[in-house]
Amino acid sequence: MAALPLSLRPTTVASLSPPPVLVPPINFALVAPGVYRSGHPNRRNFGFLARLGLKTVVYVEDGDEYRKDGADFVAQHGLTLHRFDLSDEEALFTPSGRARLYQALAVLLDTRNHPLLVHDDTGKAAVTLVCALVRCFQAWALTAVYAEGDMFAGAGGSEGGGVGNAGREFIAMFDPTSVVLDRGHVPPWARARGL
Amino acid sequence: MASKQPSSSFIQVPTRFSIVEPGVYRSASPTAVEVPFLTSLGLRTIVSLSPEHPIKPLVSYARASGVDFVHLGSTLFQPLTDWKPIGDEVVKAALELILDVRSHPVLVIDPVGIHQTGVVFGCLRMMQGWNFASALSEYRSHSGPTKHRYADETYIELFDPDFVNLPPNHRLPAWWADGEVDNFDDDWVEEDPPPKEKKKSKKDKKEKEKEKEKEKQEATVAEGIIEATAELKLNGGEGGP
Repeated sequence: MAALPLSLRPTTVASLSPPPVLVPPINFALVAPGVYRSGHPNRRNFGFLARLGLKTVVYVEDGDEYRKDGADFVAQHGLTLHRFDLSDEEALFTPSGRARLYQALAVLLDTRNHPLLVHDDTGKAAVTLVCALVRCFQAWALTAVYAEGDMFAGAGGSEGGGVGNAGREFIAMFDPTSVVLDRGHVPPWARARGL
Repeated sequence: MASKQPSSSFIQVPTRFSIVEPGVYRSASPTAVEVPFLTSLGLRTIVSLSPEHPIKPLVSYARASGVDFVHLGSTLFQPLTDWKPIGDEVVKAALELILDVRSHPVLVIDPVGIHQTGVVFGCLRMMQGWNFASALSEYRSHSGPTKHRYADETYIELFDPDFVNLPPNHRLPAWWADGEVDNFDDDWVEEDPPPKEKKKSKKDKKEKEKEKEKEKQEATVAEGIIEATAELKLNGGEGGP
């Protein structure tokens, strides 16, 4: 069989190659302008994350080492990585646990670090707790704060992988004015409590 | 027959029945087979927060045992233009009955035992000085992870106990803590937990294993020596004069 002359051969059809798809990390959401939340990002999510123009990544779960591909992404884009282990809810009721949490909040509520991504492993528990406390700065009702957390983990509390009883208790008793923040750089949306 | 007939000793308890405080019970509306259980509670009052009429067996039980059946739910089906899941006046009336020992023992019911009942007792907990997380935890333990309602929870959070008129002191139940909330834990000193000993124990294990191996090696070496000496002796025995 003779080969078709060049002019008659079918050209590559552009639509046959899949269009580029952006894959956000698991449980990704916008918390407030400049603050994003998610579970642990992986290699597939980097194209999406690169578009956010992040400055900072805050990892709030325990782990001996930050995952390698994540660390590569951070290094490649020159981001600042902060780590605070907030995975143990009961530790929030101890001075050291609360100090860790307050440090994390000070990073989150500083516009110099924005845009930032705060994430844990699943996007359900530790990150929900931190974001719930951010909502407290915005003077949200507790019902709304808990309901927002349930969107990510369901209403089953720690059984569903979300914030458990100790965490809910902490959120209910949380006083935003007790956190030491750099007042000149608190984002305007976090000033509902008169900061 | 596919299943055994329940005998009279087979007690069926109403759905989501629980004891809120001594003399105060809650549950879903009992069905006919669950009514006999109620006699064991020795009730004086049943407060219904359901718009439905009570079933006949419940009414006849109430009549026969002299139970006061208070139907507060009849106004529930009025269109609620408000965000509120239940009328303030229903909550007020229910709480005033619950906080008056003259109505005890009292059972509060609604069709599923979650929403109206949950709101009323959530409000009771807030009146008792519980924080919202604890009141919510009780509400959700009855609703489960799927049947909770946003409006119910908001009502509990925003509940203002001022409009509830408490009965005079001698008619308040014994479990009602009067006056200010006791802040006995104000002077409680928070302490960091002792450092974790997990890693240490792992180390210990490894060390122990190493020691065991050493012992084994030593033992085999010792055996070797013994064998060698035994052979020497044998050899010596043979080679001796």
